[in-house]
Amino acid sequence: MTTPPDGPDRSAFDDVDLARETMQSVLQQVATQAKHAIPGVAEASVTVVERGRPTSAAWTGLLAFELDETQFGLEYGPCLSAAASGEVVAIADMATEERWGRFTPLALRQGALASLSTPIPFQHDLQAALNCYATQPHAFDAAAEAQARGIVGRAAVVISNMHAYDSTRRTVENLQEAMRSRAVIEQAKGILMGRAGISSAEAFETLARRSQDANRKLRDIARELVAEVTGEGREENRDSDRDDGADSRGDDGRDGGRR
Amino acid sequence: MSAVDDFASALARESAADPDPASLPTRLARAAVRALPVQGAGITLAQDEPVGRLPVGASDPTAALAERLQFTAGDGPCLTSSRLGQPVFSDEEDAGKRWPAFVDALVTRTPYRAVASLPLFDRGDPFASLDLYLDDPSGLRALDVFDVVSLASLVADALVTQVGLAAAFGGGDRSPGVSDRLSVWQVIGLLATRGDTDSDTALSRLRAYAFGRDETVDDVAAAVSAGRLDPERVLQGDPV
Repeated sequence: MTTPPDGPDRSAFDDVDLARETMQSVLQQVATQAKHAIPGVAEASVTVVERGRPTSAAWTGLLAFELDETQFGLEYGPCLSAAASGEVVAIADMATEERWGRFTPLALRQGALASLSTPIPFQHDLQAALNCYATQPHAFDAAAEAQARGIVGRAAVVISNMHAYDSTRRTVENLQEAMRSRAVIEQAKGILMGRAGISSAEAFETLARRSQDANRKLRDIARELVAEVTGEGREENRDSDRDDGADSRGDDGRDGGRR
Repeated sequence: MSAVDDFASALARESAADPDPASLPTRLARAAVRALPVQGAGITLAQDEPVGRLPVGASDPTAALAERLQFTAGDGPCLTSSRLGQPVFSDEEDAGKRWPAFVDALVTRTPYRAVASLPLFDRGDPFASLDLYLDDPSGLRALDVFDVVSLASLVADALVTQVGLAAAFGGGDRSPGVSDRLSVWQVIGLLATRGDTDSDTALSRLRAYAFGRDETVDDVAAAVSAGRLDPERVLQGDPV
């Protein structure tokens, strides 16, 4: 990944901080890397087809953007074929290429004499391709193709992690909630043990029975017990009614002391 | 190879040897020790301090002990870094001035002479910390800040994006660090009700009792839980 302009200290976080990285920023890096790393690339772009609708998600220059848009207008072209088929599509010489009959003359007029479209292997219902355009015919050899595959492969990993992040980032929230709840339940068990001289298992059974009898969550019973004894957790009790049946979002901001 | 590459390959080896999701925090701590010039590493969840500190993974028993010593002392680089949301690098001399109680215990009971503590972030909010321990008093000079911060970021990502952390915690009894801390919470409740006091004060009593005896809060709580130690003695601050 490239180093962001605001210095190495921030990049240490940004490079791997999926929270701040967006799909857009990753795809922009793909296009930029392709332009700088692959010899012969004049401009590069990334096409994304979502629900059958193609868009140019990132580009390094107007040439690439306009050639993408041309293909969308025509509803065919090398980058759409690459995205849809999952196969690399190379046009060695735009002047002699016979596929995509109306696209190639427009590309030639724009000064694109060769192109290389590499599909980005997403695991999701998203089709995408990296498009490299050259101002010389036969600009892209096997090495260039391998480089393009490398760039899109790394990007696919980042983006699939990003999706994993979106679906599992609640792990931490759930975990914080679980930890808080566990701390309160353990303390409540200790309170019952201290009061009644019972074992840890018996204390838990007592909590569970009270929870059943009152038809309330065990952690709410535990919170009340802890609040009663230690004078803590009253705020949590107030929140817990609203929180019931909802997700752990209701906890946001409760630990204000730490933020 | 960079520290980040070393970390990735060490983690891959650790994960091949022990694929249990619950051991992810331990594997991350071990991989950090392989990738960096440090001798110990530990990962601690922090929530509602001072009571809510949960050590979810350590590279080895000495690193686990270092966390317990810090929890017992009640202050140290890890608590400071999570309070500030900033990395803390501290050698023995500096640490001795800032957290004398912790450093006395650390130097007496472990070979560690310098500490680096990195907050771990989830979308900008610190939720845990990575503590690194060094035997060499001047070892921090050999520690590349960029490497350390990058690695902490990778550790945070792994914890957030993989199921391991929840498994490590949910399992409860799987990790001695976790189950011992659950006992501490229980004993805090017991002491609070017996002593008619609040949780923080109950923890302070545990700390004072442990500190006077060169034990950890976790040791004392385990003794109370097992019936080997009368909670009244802890509450009364029984002299050594």
